[in-house]
Amino acid sequence: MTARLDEKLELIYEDVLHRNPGESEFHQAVHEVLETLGPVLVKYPEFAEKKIIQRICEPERQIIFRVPWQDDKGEIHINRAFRVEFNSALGPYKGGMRFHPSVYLGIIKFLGFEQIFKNALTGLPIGGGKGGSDFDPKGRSDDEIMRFCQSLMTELYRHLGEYTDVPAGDIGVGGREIGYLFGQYKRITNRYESGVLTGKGLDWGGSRARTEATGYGVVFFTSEMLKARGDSIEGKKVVVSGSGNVAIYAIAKAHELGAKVVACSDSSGIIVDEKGIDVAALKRIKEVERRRISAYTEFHKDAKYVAGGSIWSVPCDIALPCATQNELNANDAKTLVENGCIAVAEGANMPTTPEGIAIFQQAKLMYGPGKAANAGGVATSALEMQQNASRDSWSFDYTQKRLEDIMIEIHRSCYETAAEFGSEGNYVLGANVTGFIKVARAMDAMGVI
Amino acid sequence: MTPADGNSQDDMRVSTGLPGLDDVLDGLRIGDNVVWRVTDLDDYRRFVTPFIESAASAGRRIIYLRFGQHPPLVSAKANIHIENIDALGGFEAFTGKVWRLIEEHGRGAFYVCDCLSDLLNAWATDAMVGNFFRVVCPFLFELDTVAWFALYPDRHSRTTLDRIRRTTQVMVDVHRLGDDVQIQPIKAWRRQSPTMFLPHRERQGRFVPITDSSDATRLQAGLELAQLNRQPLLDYWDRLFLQVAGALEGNEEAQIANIKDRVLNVLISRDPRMLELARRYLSLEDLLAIRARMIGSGYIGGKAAGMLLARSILLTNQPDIWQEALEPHDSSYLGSDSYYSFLVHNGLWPAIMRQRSAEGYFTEAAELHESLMTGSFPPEIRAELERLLDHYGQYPILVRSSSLQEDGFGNAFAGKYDSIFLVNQGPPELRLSALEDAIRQVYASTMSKDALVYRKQRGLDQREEPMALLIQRVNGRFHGRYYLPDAAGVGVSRNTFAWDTSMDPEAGMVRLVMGLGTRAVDRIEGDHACVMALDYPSRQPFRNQDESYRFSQHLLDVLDLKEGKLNTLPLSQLTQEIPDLPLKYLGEIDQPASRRAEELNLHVPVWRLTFQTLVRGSRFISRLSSLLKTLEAGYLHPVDVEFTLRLDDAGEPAFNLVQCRPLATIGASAAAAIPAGIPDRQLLFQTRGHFMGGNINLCIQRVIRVDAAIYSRLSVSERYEVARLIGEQVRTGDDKTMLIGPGRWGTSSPELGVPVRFADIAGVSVLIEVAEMEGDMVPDLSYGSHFFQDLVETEIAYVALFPNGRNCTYQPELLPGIQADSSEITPENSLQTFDLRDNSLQLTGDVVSQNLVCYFTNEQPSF
Repeated sequence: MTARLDEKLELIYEDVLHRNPGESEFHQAVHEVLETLGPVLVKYPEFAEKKIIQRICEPERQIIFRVPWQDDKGEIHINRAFRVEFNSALGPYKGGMRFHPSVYLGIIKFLGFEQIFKNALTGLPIGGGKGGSDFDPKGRSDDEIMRFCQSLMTELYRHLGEYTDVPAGDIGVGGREIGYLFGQYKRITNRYESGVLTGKGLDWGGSRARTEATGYGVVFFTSEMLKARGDSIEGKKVVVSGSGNVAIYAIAKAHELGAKVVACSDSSGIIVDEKGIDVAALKRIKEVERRRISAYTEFHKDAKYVAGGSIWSVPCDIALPCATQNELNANDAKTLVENGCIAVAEGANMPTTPEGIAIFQQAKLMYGPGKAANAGGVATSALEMQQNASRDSWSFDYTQKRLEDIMIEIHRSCYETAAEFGSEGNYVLGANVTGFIKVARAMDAMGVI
Repeated sequence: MTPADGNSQDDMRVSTGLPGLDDVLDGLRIGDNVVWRVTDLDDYRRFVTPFIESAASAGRRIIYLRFGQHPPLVSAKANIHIENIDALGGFEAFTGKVWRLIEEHGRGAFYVCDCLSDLLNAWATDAMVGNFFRVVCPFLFELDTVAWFALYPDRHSRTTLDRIRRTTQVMVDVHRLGDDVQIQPIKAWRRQSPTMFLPHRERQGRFVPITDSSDATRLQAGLELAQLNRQPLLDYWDRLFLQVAGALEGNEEAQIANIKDRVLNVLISRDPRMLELARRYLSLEDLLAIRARMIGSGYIGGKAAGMLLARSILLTNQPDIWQEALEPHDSSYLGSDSYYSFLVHNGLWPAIMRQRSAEGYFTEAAELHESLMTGSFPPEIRAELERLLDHYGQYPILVRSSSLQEDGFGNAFAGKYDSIFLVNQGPPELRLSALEDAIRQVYASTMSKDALVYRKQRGLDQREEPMALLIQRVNGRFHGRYYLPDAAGVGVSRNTFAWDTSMDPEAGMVRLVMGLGTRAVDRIEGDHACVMALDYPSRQPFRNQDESYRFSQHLLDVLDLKEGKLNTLPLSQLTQEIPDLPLKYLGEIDQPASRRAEELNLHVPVWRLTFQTLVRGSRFISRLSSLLKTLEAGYLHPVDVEFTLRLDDAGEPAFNLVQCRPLATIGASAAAAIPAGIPDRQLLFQTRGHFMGGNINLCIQRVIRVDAAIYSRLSVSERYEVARLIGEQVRTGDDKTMLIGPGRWGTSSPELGVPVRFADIAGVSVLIEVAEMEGDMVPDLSYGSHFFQDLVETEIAYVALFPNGRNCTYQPELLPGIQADSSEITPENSLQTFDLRDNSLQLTGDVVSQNLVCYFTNEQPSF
């Protein structure tokens, strides 16, 4: 937290610290948003007068509740669960549920606060929220997971609804958990309200293209960044870190749009295939055989596997970090710039360190922050809600088209906002401010609530 | 007389001390080894005494090698140097000692030795006596010595006597009929006369040749009558087992106990603990059965002994279960003496002696390795190997090292020597050649760097390590071109990886794989065995099904009969090629992957090896638990076992027990007792429970510690920088390193701990996680599951410290020079490295008592 805040914003920040002691992750998230708001308040002084910012920083509702459950041996356990319904100015609260022993109120607030602006960027009618529990799913049987989810939903259901609060998955909450949660909700409420949860299975209200969404989205965004500079993704050499869903489908879409992805990775090492990564082989390795990336060379003898290697040292035009947090540091950023990289877009959450971002910005490289570039996943969650609301199920192509349009719109609004505020091409500023302005305008319109 | 060489013969001549004998033999020559075949040691003494007197008066240096049980041949005198050598230390130790003595005394020394036949009492085998002679005599010849030996011919087989005769320069028989003493030279290298090789009768100090043929014939007949049936055809070893058979027939308890003890000491082990087990659990019938499947003589080695003992413990203590559930084994043994015979046959003894020296221990190993890889087998062993292959037909076999020390208490030698799978296909000559190559490879593995370093670290570098071999039919089935068991695993009677506090370490654990057990035994890069706690076999350290599938076994080891070797193949390939794999008991269908496979036009369904049907639907877990508990009770020590499984049509497993040994220790030496009363100012930490990896006894040379107070104040990106710095530090140097950090190592969430990758820390010896509540640090000591799996695959010990808990003490302030500079909150400042190459920090953990301590061997100054 190095940037100084304007005096007014500093006071707001102090108040946040005072009201939320010991929640350093939340403090940091608030500070980072406030850092960008100085110019916004100059242009929109009413946001300050009507204390919009203060209201945004205060969750609309924070629910903490007990979740008792029994394990397979009959022993009783008690966990704590949270649902922070942060902001519903644009739509029902929307955000995932995280089951992890590290979960406490501060983490949920931090994630929920960020979710407000991330969701707002999509342009879809979704607010911001987050939830979770300190429950550790590790080593638990299906039955134990089910009992926990049922106990949690028995309390939480009264706060949810397709027009109220729509949770989704996150760390520790996958399709299995969403199924158990939805089942219990339906049982208690006696309503088949499919839009109350997203991340559902395809057979019971889930959306096509969800698996591909984030990966496709980051490439759509990248393509728009290049177009804005009169360039094209076609013919470009790309590296994509990771080999999970985001990476696999980013690679697939990049190839489809005429680029060539020459490297990908997993936690054990990197693969470089100058002929272009074979997506079918990658899917086979990762989705069918569930093996490490090193197996790629069994299918392509010309490809090179480097154990523990750095993907950022592979020369490229475009880099798409799609693996994990903080995987791209200042040295990596320097290497990319020196090797002629012209664009970076984040498929993962916060993969680039602040120092790395600074280097990209200094080099005037096109940098798409995760908040904007990886919004494809969130957007498709909202598309799932739309399908549920209309009791419809869209085709893959239609959903993908909607996704593409959303990403194009996200790019446009970030780009134009950045220009509006005198920082053309600064997608970080654009993303932060765009999201904030949408929420602030809506809140302004709704009176003092 | 016809001297072999010209005028120089006079210079080389040595007197026997008896002019009459000198006349018969034309004197001795420098370089002569003289073997006296006697029926009474006094006859040898009668000739050795004048020889010594004559040599002494000629100013010769005389060395008396004293090793026999008979009364000494000579008493200490000024010009006689007596060297006492213990034959009970084994062939290698004895022969090595003699070799070094000869080297030490150098050129021109004269030697008088005790009766070689007394070595039989210690070694129980003719072949080794012959080998000793074949090693030592050429060396003596080279050094221009004269050496005298004696033996009782009726105690040795003809083969041995022939070998000795071929090697020596002079051999003389002494016969006594009443007062009538005759000598008959049998061999006198490079000299002869018309009467030299006739029997000679002693008459008043002279030896008169018996030139009358009738006289000679009567004499010979008389001798043969006296010695009728005394010349054995069989080796001492074979005669010993005839005595065993005789004792069984006689059925007299005392005799049985006596002969059993003799046999155990030369067949099974020298280790008192193993011998005690063998006495209790192996019968004479068992020992005869071993002998029936044995090639050569000597020990069967630790691995074979362990396997046989374990089987016997199970069948004795739980016959109801194991008569049915324990598969018969089909094992053969290549005795440890064959290893020495191989060395001697290939003239490798000098090389061995050079390698055994301090200077040559490592430098001579490579050449010796090469010599072992290219040596030939003595004809009698080759013939036995052919017969062995006839027995196994074309079933794959496994040639396994079984050195004397292996699988013993304290020194497991786990993975240090080779085991070779043979597909055993093709014409007999090819199969024999492959078998010989495999044996050579195992022999040569005694010279691998790994094995040499291991021995040196344990102070075993000068100890005898005869290599026996265990040759077994591989348990499994033919599946077209592949051969593999249904499943295989390693069971440990203590759970050394209890990752959940509800798991009882005493319940034990198992690593289970499909296919050959090599993937359960060896560390496998990029793949995983199924690790289960036996009290919670269905509980896995995964958060969801995706993780449990991702960290399951993907690759199988199989014997590929077409390619003639062991191959590692993806499960996906094998499920296509082998339709009758028992997948329904060992795995489950991965539905999401199967759907994806269908979309990609790949083979479906896709299976994952979770073993849950085996666990839930059969008696596997209960039987394995029972097996381990029974063996631990028998050994009076935790054990680890290797086994294969054969599933019947209902999925019920039968066990084939392949190996059993006392549970090993992570560290440089045998398990050490936890020292009591460690002074407070020396105790870095101690804990009860919460450690993984088994018995630990490590000398720590470097500590890298993350200061929680500073670390907790770092930003997220700075915490990642710490992880990178740690990786850089760990990769420099190969000191035994202990990593200490707050929260969870390898977490993907920096608020939980230090987000290193496994590759960053793979080189450390110990990983310590400390529950430290600092700032916003959330203490959490559960594993990232990939991290846990990778830890299981390595020998990295893991310890969790709860300083606020009852049974834990942690005093980081004792680390020398520790000072937290909390004024500067930087990644570099959060990391502290302590050089402890003065070997002052010891980590000792006992899996039985669940106690672990880390302490300085010297008191630490306070700061």
